[in-house]
Amino acid sequence: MALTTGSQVPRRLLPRLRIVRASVVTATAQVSGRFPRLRLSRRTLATLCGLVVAAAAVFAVGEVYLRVAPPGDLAPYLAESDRTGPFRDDLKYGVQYRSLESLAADNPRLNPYLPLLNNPHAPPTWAFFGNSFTQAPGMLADTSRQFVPQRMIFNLGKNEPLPVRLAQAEFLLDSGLKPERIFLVVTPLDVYFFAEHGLDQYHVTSGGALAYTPRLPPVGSKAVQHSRLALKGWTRTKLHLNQPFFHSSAICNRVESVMRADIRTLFTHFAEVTAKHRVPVTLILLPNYEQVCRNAKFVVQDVLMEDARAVGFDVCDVREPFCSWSNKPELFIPDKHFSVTGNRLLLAEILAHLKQIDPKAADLPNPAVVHP
Amino acid sequence: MNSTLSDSSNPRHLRLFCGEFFVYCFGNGVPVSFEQKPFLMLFAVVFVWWWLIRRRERSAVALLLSASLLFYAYNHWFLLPILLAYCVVNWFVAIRTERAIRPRAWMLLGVVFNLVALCYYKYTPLLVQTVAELGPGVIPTLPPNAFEKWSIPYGISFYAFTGIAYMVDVYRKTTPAEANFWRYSLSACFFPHLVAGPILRPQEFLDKVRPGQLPSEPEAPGEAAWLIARGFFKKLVVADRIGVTIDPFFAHVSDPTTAGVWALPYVWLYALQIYFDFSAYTDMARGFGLLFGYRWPENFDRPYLAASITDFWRRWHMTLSRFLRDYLYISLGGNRHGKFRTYLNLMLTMLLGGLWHGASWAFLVWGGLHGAFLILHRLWSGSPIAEWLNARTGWIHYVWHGVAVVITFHGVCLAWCFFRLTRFADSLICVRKWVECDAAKMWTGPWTDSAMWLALVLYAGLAWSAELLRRKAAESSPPVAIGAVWGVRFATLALAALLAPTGANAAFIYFQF
Repeated sequence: MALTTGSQVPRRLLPRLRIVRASVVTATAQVSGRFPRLRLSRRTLATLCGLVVAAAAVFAVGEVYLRVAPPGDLAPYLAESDRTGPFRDDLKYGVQYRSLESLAADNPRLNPYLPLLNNPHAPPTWAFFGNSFTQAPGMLADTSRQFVPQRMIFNLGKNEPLPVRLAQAEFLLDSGLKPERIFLVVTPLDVYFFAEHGLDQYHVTSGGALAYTPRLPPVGSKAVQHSRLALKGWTRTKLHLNQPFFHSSAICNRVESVMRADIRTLFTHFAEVTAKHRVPVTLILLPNYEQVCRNAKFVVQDVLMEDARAVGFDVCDVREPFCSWSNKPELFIPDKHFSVTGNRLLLAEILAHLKQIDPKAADLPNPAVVHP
Repeated sequence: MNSTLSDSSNPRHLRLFCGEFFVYCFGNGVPVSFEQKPFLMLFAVVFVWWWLIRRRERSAVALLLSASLLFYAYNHWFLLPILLAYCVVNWFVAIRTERAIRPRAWMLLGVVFNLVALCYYKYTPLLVQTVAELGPGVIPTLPPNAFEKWSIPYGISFYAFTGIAYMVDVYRKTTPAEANFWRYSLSACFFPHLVAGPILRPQEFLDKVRPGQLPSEPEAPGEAAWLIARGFFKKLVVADRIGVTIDPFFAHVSDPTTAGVWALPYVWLYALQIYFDFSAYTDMARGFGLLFGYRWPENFDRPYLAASITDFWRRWHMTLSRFLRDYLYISLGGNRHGKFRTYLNLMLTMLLGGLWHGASWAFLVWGGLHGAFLILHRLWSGSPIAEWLNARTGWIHYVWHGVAVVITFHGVCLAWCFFRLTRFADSLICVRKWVECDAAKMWTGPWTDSAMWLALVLYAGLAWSAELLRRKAAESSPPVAIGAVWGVRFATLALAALLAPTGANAAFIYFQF
């Protein structure tokens, strides 16, 4: 292998090139000696060396890139990162808020209610805990404010996984929130999130951010734990998820046992908390677009109903009025949230349900007024 | 909250190696793209099959044509008749043009067909909605979302122009008509260049599909590997990451949520995103073409280093600007009829070029801006100041060159505001936010995301080192350097796959044209 190949190599580099050449020759001889049947030529081995070294260099640069600037989709799976948050570890829900101030900082929608937490003259409060079907503008909470002036409607404004939502509810109850009733609004997608991250995967970084422990591969787990490039590659396969082969569209048809176990655990803990505070809980089971308009099954609602009733929750299942609506697409907006009609139908069913089970609901509006 | 669940279920038992591809074919609603699994699976199968039969020309033509039609019809089988109609008409018209007594009439017939079909599919909603807005009584009131389900066939802008170029070249006798319909169709439909170019001349592709000319070996597999790896990296790691960063700003540019935000960094980033996105597609298309033995022209030559808008159009989407020059600008008279006519031809060419990009008046404005810039540059070039500056050497030359590059880049960015934001009002707001902003918000926001800027630096480093190694390997062919070149190529491809954002990748920007 010529050192000077016609290109002008600076003299000061020649000694280093000689060292590199000697190393390659030595390595070539060692490989040939250890694997006499291999009989690779020196040229081939030199090419392979070049290939390996260059590839390793590129991967090393990639590793450095991920360590210096981890992208947003990788950050939740890092044991430690620069991310900060309002949480601390919790054995029951996986996460819990450090303080009321941190909860308020993370949820600006809480601030207007804070004086009411200790206000004895506030009207009876309905506390809604749900995803965007509850707290997005124009959705259930806003519809309730419009049609149920007899109640103070309490809701936060961020989408959170179900464990975080229940942690919020417990924290607020312990901090003085005294609702007449808690409404836990659940859609099939909330249950699907357990397919992505099981309860045992939740943990909190030292900065207070919510993170998830990825499921590790059977082979190469050490690489995934110590190399960000390997971790990124592992997350690209989606095998780091709790149930990697569980597609979101299957949630209507089945709920895996590990997912159900997590839900039961959460419901059990939450039932203890609400019993301690003597606050009744109504689990509102919302159907999704596929269930209403495409005749998908209601397996997830059946499972939730059974588990909720087992711990003493009241359940309001609105599938029947939605599925029997004459113009079903009218109940949804293009992004498959409920429309004004859908929200009014939902609220009417909730009111009708409450009037059947709760004597305190006597002062509530007639559901027929709300019904679209 | 992403409450949008998939519309159809993918039964688990169908997720076999080949089955998954067919489930995607008939059960999914997403167009196939180079970086998606269905395309990669199809490509692997087609390439291996082609490798086995590559010396049998007829079989190779049949295979590649079938694969191309399958690629195009991926969950859009209803668009296939349109593509086939183009092939039939263009092929037939070219033959008649070559043999007829009145070739011009046949050529014009073919061009008109291409343009009418293109305009019908692309511009009908725009024209009808514009007329409806101009006068309620002119046409009956349109229901809301009247054109919600109107489909523009993918790639129609590109294969229409490719067909026009072919028929006009046959008319001009710069290329013979291809007598074999299947070979012509392959040149028109070949999947690497079908949807988003490059816009090829017959000499660049059709001539290599003619009998006896079909390549039977890949050309420059090393170069092909690097182009594909580089394309994947540009698209998945750089362009998509920039898109994730800047899309929320453009989605809310007229909202109170972006009040006081400085728009210029987002426009810079969009300029980079569209460059990396489109050049990535071209790289991959050229790379896949090389694997089958076809070498196609470059489409980009460091466009943002252009020192004038005229220079920019020699570096940006070069095959389109070449088409517009040769088949539109020159046909209109070019610069042969005096200054005023030259400027008019320039403006018309750019207006139509803008409209070609999309069915929105904002694209017309984009083209008009570029036309105006071209005219201004011509006027400036003839001025004494410009001549004096261009004659300078030394540091004055370099300073002036740098200033010219910066001015050109920002002129292009100004036009991108209308390209990106198709609502005219939003574009004006975006431009206004170049200068109207809160000082406190200038250096904050998603555009400061270090991961995104580092990705750009990473790409620059990889491209530079790959080029350095390539030159070293080409000069002296030391085996270590050759191995290193291949190592960089494979590792870049792997790195692109690893560093791509998790989740569904954004479609190529130019797929919408």
